[in-house]
Amino acid sequence: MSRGWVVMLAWALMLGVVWVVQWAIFDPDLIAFVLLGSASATTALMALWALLAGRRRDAPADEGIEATPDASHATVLLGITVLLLVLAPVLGGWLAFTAAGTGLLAVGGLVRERSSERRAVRAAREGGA
Amino acid sequence: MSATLPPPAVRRGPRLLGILSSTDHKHLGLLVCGGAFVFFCLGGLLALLMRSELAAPELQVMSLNAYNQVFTIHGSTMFYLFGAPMALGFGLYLVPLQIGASGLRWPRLVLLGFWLFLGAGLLMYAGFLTQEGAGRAGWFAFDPLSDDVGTPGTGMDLWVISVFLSVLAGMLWAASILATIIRHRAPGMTMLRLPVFTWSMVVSSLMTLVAFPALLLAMGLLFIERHGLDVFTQPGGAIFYQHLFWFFGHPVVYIVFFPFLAAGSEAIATSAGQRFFGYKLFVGSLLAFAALSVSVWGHHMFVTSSVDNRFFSLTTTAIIVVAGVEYFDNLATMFRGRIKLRASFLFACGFMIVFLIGGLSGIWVASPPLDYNAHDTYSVVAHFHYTLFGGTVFGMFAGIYHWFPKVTGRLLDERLGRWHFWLMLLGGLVTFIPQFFVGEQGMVRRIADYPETAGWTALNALSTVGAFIILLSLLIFLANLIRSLRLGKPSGPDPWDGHTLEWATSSPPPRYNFPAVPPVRSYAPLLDLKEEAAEDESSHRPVASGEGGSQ
Repeated sequence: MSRGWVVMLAWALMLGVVWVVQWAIFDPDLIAFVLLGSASATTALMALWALLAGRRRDAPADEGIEATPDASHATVLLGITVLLLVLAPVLGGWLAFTAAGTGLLAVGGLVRERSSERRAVRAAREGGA
Repeated sequence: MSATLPPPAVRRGPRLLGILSSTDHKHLGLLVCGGAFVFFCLGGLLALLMRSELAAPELQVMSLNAYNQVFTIHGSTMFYLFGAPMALGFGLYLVPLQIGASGLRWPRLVLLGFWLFLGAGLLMYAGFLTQEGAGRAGWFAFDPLSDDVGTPGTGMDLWVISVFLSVLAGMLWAASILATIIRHRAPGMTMLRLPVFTWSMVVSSLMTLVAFPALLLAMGLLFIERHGLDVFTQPGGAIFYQHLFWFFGHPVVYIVFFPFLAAGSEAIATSAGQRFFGYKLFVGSLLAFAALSVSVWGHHMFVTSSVDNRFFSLTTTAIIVVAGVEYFDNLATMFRGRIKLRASFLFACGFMIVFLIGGLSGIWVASPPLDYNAHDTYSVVAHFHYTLFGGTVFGMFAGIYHWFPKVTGRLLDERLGRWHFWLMLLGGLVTFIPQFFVGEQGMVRRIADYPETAGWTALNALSTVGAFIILLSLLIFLANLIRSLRLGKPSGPDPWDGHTLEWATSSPPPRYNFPAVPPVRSYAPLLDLKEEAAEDESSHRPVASGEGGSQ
């Protein structure tokens, strides 16, 4: 099992120690107190994610199956959609409508890529069995 | 590997389109690093404009308003579009190779990040085309200077969006790199066998995921404020913004520093032909360094009287200890080594020298009474340029000279590399050392002009000469790059007698990196194999007559 979570937890504890020192010895303002504490808590949560993810070994790549397509045009379209969306409040609401169109295409493309990946993984597993 | 399938059929477009939508970590790394390097050149040109303006008293090159735009976009480019993206881009390319993985986890997120980053850069520079000009509130954009009254106009809005997007992109890349290291390591590659560069990416990714959301929040709130809602104009709002900004703004220096420190360390260990000294201590110090560097942001706010200066002074000063461990580890790795003075080694040494000046000058601004005097002067400009120029640019070139053969299959010209190094070192010293003195004499930051009677003319002129020496060194590098890409000697898979897994595969590596991953028994698996092979060879060599001892 991957021990990456231990590193994250160790780092969360280091941040926690600094946070406790700040709180116990010094006189932090509320924002500094919350920021440092939330950094430690966020890292601890990431460690928990890594621990749980390490126990779940169902990703194709974990079995040595490479199924991701070489190129993902749908992801490019998704990127352009995000750009159009964030620009809409500045350059005009019409960009949001364009983004809706490109977003639909992007999501459709991603769904198609994922189903293609799943088929490939299934075929590899059946072939390997 | 149990099975490796060819990827599902995807209709291929032209080659460029294929690369721009690629999910191969090598293409993604090159796209991000290439984009970051282009922005580095643009940011450098803006720096030359600023230095040209400051070379002599009176305004010669641009207006005051244009100067504000130029220094804002220069700083923003170097932080948001060059430093962090370049460091993480190195990780995108190298981490899977160093840990024996076939690719990155979540490659689509990385590709999405690249497009957000590209959009961020284009939007930031598009600001120059707007009526009021580009963002001009500094790379920090403190509120209320950056609100719709202090800095009205579309250019500033584009700046806010651009920073938001580049920060988001950085988080996507960091998440992918960290997940790859956690989940995709080759058999035998435990966490305490990761190469030092990969370890640097662990800490940089952790810091990115912890620190970047603060700026994401700050930019979101700033955008809302600029469009009518009072957020930071509430009592304490300006200080709240500074907290959010510096909670990102200081760690980002180390997010950039760690990978390039480690790139230099890899170059040093390989050039010295020695195993990296004090590996576990180095790893521990990286983690401690990262924890401390997330806890020091308040030292940028000493003069605001709204933070506990004692705490932030303590954490800032404590960084000396962990930084010292890393410096001495590198020096000990060189000790008794058979050092080959390659360009990558020279840049790694340059990194240590130049960053040392930045680090030592940081000690006195870590002390509040001294910082009160130095704050917002050119002394601080000199300090952070030594940390960033040393920590980013020299480390980056150490990495480029070290890994260019792996990426391209060709060697860079070493003679031109040495010219590049010496001129860059000279340029770096001539540009920034005078700034300590003009700062000490009272020259403040972010001014486009100064009176002739101030007595700063000679030092400013010298600093400008230095900036043009740096330009010359970069032109030599570009010439070397172009020449070597076309005419460079073929490098083979392992031109430097490397220690880590990336040197076990062909140059450039194939789509899934390794036909078979070599056994991993330490943080230098390839060196282990070479030492074993050498031992086997010596144990099978027949004993020559007169040679003493038994086999």
